[in-house]
Amino acid sequence: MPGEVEITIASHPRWLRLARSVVQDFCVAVDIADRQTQSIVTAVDEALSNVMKHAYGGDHSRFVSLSCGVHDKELEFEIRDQGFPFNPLDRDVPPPNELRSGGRGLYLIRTIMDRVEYRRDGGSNCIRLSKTLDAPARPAQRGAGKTNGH
Amino acid sequence: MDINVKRDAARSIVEVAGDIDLYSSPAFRETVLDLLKKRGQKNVIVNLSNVDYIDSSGVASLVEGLQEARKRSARFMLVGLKEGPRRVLELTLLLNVFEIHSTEEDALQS
Repeated sequence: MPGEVEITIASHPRWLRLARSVVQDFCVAVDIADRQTQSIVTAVDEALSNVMKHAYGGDHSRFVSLSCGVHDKELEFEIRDQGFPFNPLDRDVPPPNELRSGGRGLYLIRTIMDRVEYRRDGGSNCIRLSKTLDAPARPAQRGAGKTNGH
Repeated sequence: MDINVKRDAARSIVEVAGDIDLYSSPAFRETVLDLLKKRGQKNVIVNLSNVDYIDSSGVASLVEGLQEARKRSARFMLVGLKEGPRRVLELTLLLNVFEIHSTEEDALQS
């Protein structure tokens, strides 16, 4: 999917806030409601965090890219990294249990987004998160372009 | 994220400002667990009124705090939940697990 907004950040959690602000601004630009925007930001942030933790195993020297796009009623976010194969769909995600310390990130992603797709593309992990909107989104504002966060 | 701890013999109030995410949650977790484990606090209040965002690692830190408090028969309370963090606790089915108050004063008087 050619995204309308793209950002590449180093695989250090300090850049997650920047990525969240890009997703938030993108959702605002295409007229997504505030409450839905908050949830979408959470889902994308959790997916980026998973890349840093699992695909890169905490190695802060790598890079992860995020592409944001909207097509009619479909809001799509594609996350790409060059880390170890990590397929979030391979894991069972039972409903959160207060006694369990982990596993809520994947649960949030799957609960918030309508579709989660994974493919291994050469040496890259590619995760696509999609959300179907109630009404067609407004096209992203002209001038939104490529941003490099590193 | 900034953390400020107000502490006396009876209680500790952890005031957090900023986002609690994968980057900042280790410091938050350490602060909360230190109060319960090392300082033996029996009443810990986490003030989230200046927190707009919390991710699953932040939620996990809250859960660890709650579990540690229960082990020690201590109280672990959240105050000032904004809509975003409240929604994340709701989605993760934890909203009714925590003792939640509107303000520090409400928590102190409860």
